[in-house]
Parts: sequence; structure tokens; C-alpha cells
Amino acid sequence: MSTAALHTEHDAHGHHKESFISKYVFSMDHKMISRQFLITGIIMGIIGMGMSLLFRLQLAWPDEQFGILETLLGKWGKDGKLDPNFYMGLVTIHGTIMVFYVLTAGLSGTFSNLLIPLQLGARDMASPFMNMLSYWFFFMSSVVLMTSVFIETGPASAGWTVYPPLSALDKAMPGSGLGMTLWLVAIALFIVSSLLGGINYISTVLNMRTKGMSMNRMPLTIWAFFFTAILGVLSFPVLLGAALFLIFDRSFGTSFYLSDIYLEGVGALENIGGSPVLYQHLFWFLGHPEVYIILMPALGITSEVISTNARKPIFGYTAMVISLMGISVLSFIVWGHHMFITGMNPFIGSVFMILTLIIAVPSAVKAFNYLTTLWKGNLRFTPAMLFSIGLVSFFISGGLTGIYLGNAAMDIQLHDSYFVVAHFHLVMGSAAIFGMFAGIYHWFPKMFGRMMNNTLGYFHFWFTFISAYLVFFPMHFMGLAGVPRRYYQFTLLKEFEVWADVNVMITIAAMLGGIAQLFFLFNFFYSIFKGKRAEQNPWQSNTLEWSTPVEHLHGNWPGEIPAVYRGPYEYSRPDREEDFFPQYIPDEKAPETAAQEGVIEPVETKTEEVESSVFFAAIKRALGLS
Amino acid sequence: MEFHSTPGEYDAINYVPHTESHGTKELWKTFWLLLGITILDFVIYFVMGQSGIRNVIFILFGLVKAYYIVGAFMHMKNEKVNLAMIIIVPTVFIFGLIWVMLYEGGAITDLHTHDVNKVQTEVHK
Amino acid sequence: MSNHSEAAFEKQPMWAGGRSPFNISYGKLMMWIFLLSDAFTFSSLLVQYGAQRFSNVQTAVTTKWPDPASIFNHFPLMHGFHLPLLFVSVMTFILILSSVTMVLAVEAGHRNSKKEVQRYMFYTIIGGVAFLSCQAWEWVTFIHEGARLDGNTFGITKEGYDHLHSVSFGSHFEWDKAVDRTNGPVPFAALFFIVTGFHGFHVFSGVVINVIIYIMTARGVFERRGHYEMIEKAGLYWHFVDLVWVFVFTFFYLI
Repeated sequence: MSTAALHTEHDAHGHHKESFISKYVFSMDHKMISRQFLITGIIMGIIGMGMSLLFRLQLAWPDEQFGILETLLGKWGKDGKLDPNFYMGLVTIHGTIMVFYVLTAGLSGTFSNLLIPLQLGARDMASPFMNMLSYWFFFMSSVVLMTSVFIETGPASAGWTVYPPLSALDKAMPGSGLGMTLWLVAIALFIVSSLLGGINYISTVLNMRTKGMSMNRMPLTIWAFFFTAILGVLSFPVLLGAALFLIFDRSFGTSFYLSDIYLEGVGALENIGGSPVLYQHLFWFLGHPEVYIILMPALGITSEVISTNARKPIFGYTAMVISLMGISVLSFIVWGHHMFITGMNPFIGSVFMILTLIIAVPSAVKAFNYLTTLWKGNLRFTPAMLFSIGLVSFFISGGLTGIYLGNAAMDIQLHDSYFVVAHFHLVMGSAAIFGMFAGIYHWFPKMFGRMMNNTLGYFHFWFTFISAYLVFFPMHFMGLAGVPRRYYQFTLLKEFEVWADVNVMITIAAMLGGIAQLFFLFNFFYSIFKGKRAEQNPWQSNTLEWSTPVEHLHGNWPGEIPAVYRGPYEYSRPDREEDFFPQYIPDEKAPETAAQEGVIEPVETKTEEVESSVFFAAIKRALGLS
Repeated sequence: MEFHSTPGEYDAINYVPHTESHGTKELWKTFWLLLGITILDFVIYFVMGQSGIRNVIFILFGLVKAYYIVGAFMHMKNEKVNLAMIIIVPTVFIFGLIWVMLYEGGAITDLHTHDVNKVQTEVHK
Repeated sequence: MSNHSEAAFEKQPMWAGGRSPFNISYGKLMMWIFLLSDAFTFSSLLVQYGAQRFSNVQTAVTTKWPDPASIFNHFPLMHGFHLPLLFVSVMTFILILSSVTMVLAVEAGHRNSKKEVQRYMFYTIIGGVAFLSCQAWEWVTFIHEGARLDGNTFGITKEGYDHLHSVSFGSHFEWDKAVDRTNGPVPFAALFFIVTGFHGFHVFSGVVINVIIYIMTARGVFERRGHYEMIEKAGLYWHFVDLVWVFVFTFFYLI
């Protein structure tokens, strides 16, 4: 009784104190911070997508003039033609925004913040203050990055990987000047934000689970966020080290990453003794885990969404966790596959190649587990479910090309070609963004207390899905034919003329994809204010976040935190009337009510047997053994 | 945060375990040990000439010092084994980075010192 | 299905939720994880140092990486004597000593003894400031000797190297007369400045944290709170700085 009294007192107290600033701006409530991350991420996503449309325009019609470019870009689009330097800048900033700002902070920041306390049964993150700092560092970082687009010499133009010498010599090209410096500042701020967030996520997951929430009753989303946070905490510091050396090279005349360059027998630089390959090693020690920092939250969200909407337990919960763990461990020891042709020692290359190919195993485990979860499920095609299935599709089609690229011998042909562009846009770009969309559609009722419109969601899905394949699939063929990435004007080279029509088609498809996002944006912002009011558990889901009231409370649960009695994926249990069995409903009730009604059926392990026998019977049938 | 739960219940935010003093004897012992190893470092530096073995000894001594600093000063010995594991095991990844970077550095030296043509002929043979 | 795999976990109620699996507060856990990530930052710096040292391209004039004994052989008020490693050993001693006083403060905190905590925190701060002063002196001397970020004059020839090792400890020594100064591996001084500078920055922030903690202790904040856990967290950070110094000392001065 006394606790309840205390709570009401505190709630009343809290309402008096909260001003607009403390509630919406410098909020320490994890639900608000998650919404801040999401909306910032969406705005950055719009900018990144817009940039890609601009340079796609250039690639499709390199010789034509578009008045809109001059209107939009001013001196960078003189006479309606995109400036080559700015083209490089656009490519770089598009990559940076999408990789770091949308798919790292926007995806993992949003959903880790929202779901970790809610799904684990915690009042808030371990340190709400650091959580708030994490968002504001991210915000500052976004502002600095966007500022760099508007400066005289243009934004950083060395590609999102900022390899030296383009990034280390400030006179190498216009974007290597102030734009590059601002890029480094933005990334340093981003690293701080990511570390503050990551440390918080890890300690919350380890220390703040509610009673009964043992590690393997955690939903797979939490497992994914947990490993993501670990990857971030261990790999971002290494980028910080690399950036520190890079800053010294740029500003203080050291030569860590600049080797002796000779032009016609004369030393072009004063620097001697450095090597750009060393930078690439440090960068990719972050860069490869970063790929999984992007992908794993999306995979976690997909697990949850697919299981809920297939009304089936996820197939192979333990295997899913182990494969996440395997991917995390492997991601730290395979970074060299990004550098096969950079002059790295071939012996190290062969080691990296073997390790890289091993990643196919846990990835395949995940892909098959998704498929087998879907199989014979009682599927509900909500937009979130469609996006999750879309993710599985991209994960398979994009992941398979990864095996090609992981092979050192093949990579000599394919490196830096459109094949690579196609590969990572499918497996990490489209797949992760589909996971993000799935998460938004699924948890929108939790975040904003309202439902999104389903019809618009279907339009959004189908247009995006079709356009993504139309954009990225043809790129495989271009890459195999040897078309290099980041080229500005293909008409200058006769060999590439055959691809002119394909480029036009890709650009038109990209525009279709851009239009599809308008459905989403309208749906999203309209539904925040005018959407149908959500019920408490709109998807009949098992996990703990749906036991909180629809109206957000500071502290999540009005009374005590519910305890947890079983795993998160107990859908369609034969002994239950309803096809779901929330984690927070005590076990005892089931036999009791059953006894009253006179239908006592033991729970036990029968569920599992039924399922596996169905599964194995199906395999036997498929193999013709029965 | 000011959330209250019933007395005796686990309150994740305000939870601070009761700690007890383990005395200062072990701490001073560790101090003399660290000092001794540092002096030993100093002595070996002058007694042995520069060699690979000496470097290995120095690195091993460094690791021993690290063990005592983390174990005794940072109280890792008194923590649960689980905690020690989640902190220590991830440092394994550093060793991968060390190996690759040092190998790479050596390979760059080889590229500069060896005659490139000679290396190629060796490969063809 | 998941019930099956749960059985293994149920045997360990430690992990079953509703408690901290490590019996520590979230703050200390966060500090440990932060230190783990900081260890990766320092590793990336030291690994860069290792790679550059291994990739040191030998030219006609330079034989090898400069011998630290020939460079860090100064001691305050002992100008002109060959005293390699002596000063840095003193620095190491200061840092270890301040680590001990820190851990004594933590121990006093366990006994809720405000006076002792205050006293040992004060010693620790003194130790930190002393270390930073030593480092400042060393940097000044090093720069005075000609260390620059964009170049290096500490390379020595084979003859110079042999001569150097014939000079005995504590004898009168003037570097300029002993060997010809020639261009050495360029990143030598820059790496020294970046790594020791980054470490010094950590010491500095550690001193700032300690001062804050000292003031909080003096004002009785922890006494009112009922526990001195904050000292432990600051202590973890301070010992980590010491830990990093062990490796900086090993790789920059000994090897």
C-alpha cells in the first residue's frame, strides 16, 4: 500500500515540475529520448535520400541540364549541371548520414532506448542523464555534419571511409579542407554519443532486468541490442584513435598515414614513413563491426515482429542467440576483407578470407530460422510483418553476394565496382532500413499511443520493396562488367555506354522509392496527431512493453513492475484458449482456471514435441521418407 | 530517480551493495611487489643487451603488473567471476589487432628493403 | 520451446532477473565497461605505434628506431649526466604510490571513515599533480632536445649506436658530442607526444575527478548518502590510468 501511495505522490509531484523544456527537450525519460532519436533519424534519412536522388540524376543523364540543381545547390549546380567535386561530397555525406546517423543512431538509438527498459521491466535506463547526453551529442554531431554541406569549399569528399591521402592532405581536393575537419569533429561527437548510449544499454541489460527475466527469457530484440551495444563500445574507440592520428596528420604535419609520394622523381610531399594502409586497418576494425551494429538491431526487430505476426514461437531461440553471438565475435576478426587489394600483405588477406567465409554460417542459421518460423504460421500481414519479410528477402539476396566478395580472388575483380554497391545496399542498407520500418510500424502504438494507417503502409512497402530491387539488382551486372563506383560521368568512357539505359532505369526506380517514402512520412506525422487511438496490446504480443498503459508514464508502470514467468515467444500454445501467453501472466492461473472449467490439460513439454514432429514430418515428406 | 519499491525488494536504480573492508595488508604487499618488478625492469635494462628475449621479459613483467593492478587495486579478485569475464574476455580482440598491425608493419618494411623483382621470381619458382 | 533452454539458466538464480548478477551497482558496472572501451582506445594508439615501429623504413643514414636510453637520459638538476630510465622510473613510482593512496581511500570509504578518505584523497591528488609536473618537465626537455611533430633528429648511425652503449650509467654525457644527429624515423616524437599526451590527458581528468570527489567528501555528501561508492568509481578510473602507464612505460621506454 505504501508503495502505491508513494507513487501517486511522486506522479503528482512530477507533473507539477515538468515544464515544456524538461519534458520535450532535455527529457531524461527513455521513451521521449527514443522519439527524439527517431525523428532526428528520419530527418537525416530524408536528407540522405535526397542527396542520393541528386547524384542519381547526374548518373542517369550526365549531359543534360536540370534547372532544379541550380535552384537547389547554387554554385555547385551551375547551369543545371552538378559540380564534380560536389558529386563526391554528396556521395560521401550520403554514405555518412545513412551509415552513422540513420542506421546506427536512428535505428539502434531509437529502439534500444524504447525497448530495453520496457521489454526488460526497468523503470528507465541505468543512467537517464547519460542517456540524455547521448542524444544531445548525437544532435550536435548532426548539426556539425549538416553545417559542413553549406561551407565555401563543400563537404568532406573522400568517401564515407575517409581514406588518406584525400582526408589527410587538406589541399588534395576542395572537400579535403574545412569540410573534412568538420566531418572529423562530427564523427568524434558521434563516437561520444554512441559510447554513452552503448555503456548505458549494456549495464541496463545486465543489471536491471525484472524478476524472472533471466537472460534467455529476454526477447531477441534485446539480445540484438545487447550485442550491438557491445560491438559499439569495443569498436568505436579504435576509430577515435584513427581519427586522432588523422587530425594530427592534417593539422600538425605528422606523417602517420602519408607516405613518400614522388611525382616525376621529385618528392611531392614532405612526409615520409607513413602508410595509408595502417589507417585502413584501424578504420575497418571499427568499420566491420559497424556493419553489424547497423544490421543486428534490424534482425532483432524482425525476430520479434515475425514471431508475433506468425503467431508461432520463434524457431530456434537458442540458435538465434548463439548466431548473434557468433556474428558479433566474428565481426571483430574479419575487417581485412575490405582491404584485399589495398596492398595489404596477402598472407593476412588469406586469414581474413577464411574467417569471413565463416560468417555465412551464423547468417544462414538466422535466415533459415526466419523462414521456418514463417512456415505454417498463422500469418498476419501487417505492414510491420511485410517489412520484416522484406528484410529476410534482402538479407538472403544481399548476403549471398557477400560470399563472392569475401573471396580474395574474386574481390580483385569486384572490388570498388558497382557489385559492392549492390551488395551492401541490399544486405545492410535496404535490409536494415526495412527492419527500421518494421520496428516503426510495430511499435508506433507504443511510442505515440496511436495506430498508423495500414493501407498507406501497404503502398509504402510495395513501392519501396520493388524500387529497392529495381535500383540495386541491376548494379550487380554493372559491377561484374567492371563498372567502378563513385565515377562522375559515364558518358566520357565509351565502354560504359551500354549501361546508359540501365542507369536511367535505376534513377527512375530510385525516384519511385523516394515517392514511396512520402506515403510513410505522411502516414507517420499524420498518425502522431490524428491516428486511431491504440489499445494497450494491439498486436496480441507477449512481451512486457505491452503491459504498460498507453499513456506514457515516467517510470513506465503505475504500480509495481510485473514479474516474468516464461519466454517471450509462447504463441499458439495448444493448452491456451488465446493464441498468445504474455510473459507477465503468472503460470499458476492457467491450471487453476482450467480446473474450474474442468478441462485440465498438462502444460509441460508437449508443445515442443508437437511442433518438432510437425516440422520433421514435413521434412520427411519433402524427402519422400514417409 | 526516485522510485520506491517495497523494503528488501531489488531496486535496480538505487541498488548499492554493502561492501566490507578487506584490510590494507594486501594492498601494501601489492605495492611492494609492483615496486620490486619496476626495479627489476630497471636492472634488466642495464644488465641485458637489447634483444628479443629482453623485450619478451619486459612485456611479461608488464602483464604481471597489470594483473596485480587490476586484481588487487581495482578489486577484481573480490568481484564475481562473471564480471571479471565480461571485462577481460573482450580484450582478446585487441590481440588480433596487434598481430595484424605488427605483421602489416613488418610487411611494409619488407616491401621497402627487398628487391621487388627478386621476391616475384621467388614466388614464380 | 524456450522452456527447454531455460532449464539450464534456472540453475543459476543469479541471472534470473530481479537482482544484479554481479552484485554491483549500475554505476560501477558502467565504469568497468567504460574502462574496457577506453582500453581499446589506448590499444589503438599503441598498436599504431607498434605498426609504425615495425614498418620503420631503414635509410642510408638511419639504422634503427632511436634508443630511448639515449634520449630520456636526463634528470632535473643533473645536467649533462647519462641517467637513462631514472626519471621515468621516478614517475612510475609516483603513479604507483598515488594508486596505493587511492586504494587506501577506497578502503577507508568501506569503513565509512570520512576523515581518512579525505586524507588519502588529498595524497592521491598530490601524486597526480606531481606526475603531471614530471611529465611537463620531460616534454619540455624533449622539445628542447629537438623533438618535433613533423620530423625527428634522434636517428643515430651504427657508430653512434655503438658509442652510446659504451657510455656507462651516471657518467658525464653530452648527446651532441657523442653521436652525429641525423634524421631518424619521422613518427618517433609524434607518437611519443600523442600517446603520452593522451595518457596525460587521462591523468589530468582523473585529477579533476579526484578534486571534485575530495570536495564532495569534505562537504559530507557521501556521509549523508551512507556509502562511499563514488570513491570506488573514481578509484577504478585512477587505477586504469596507472594500468595504461605500465604499458606506455614498457613500450616507449624499455623496449
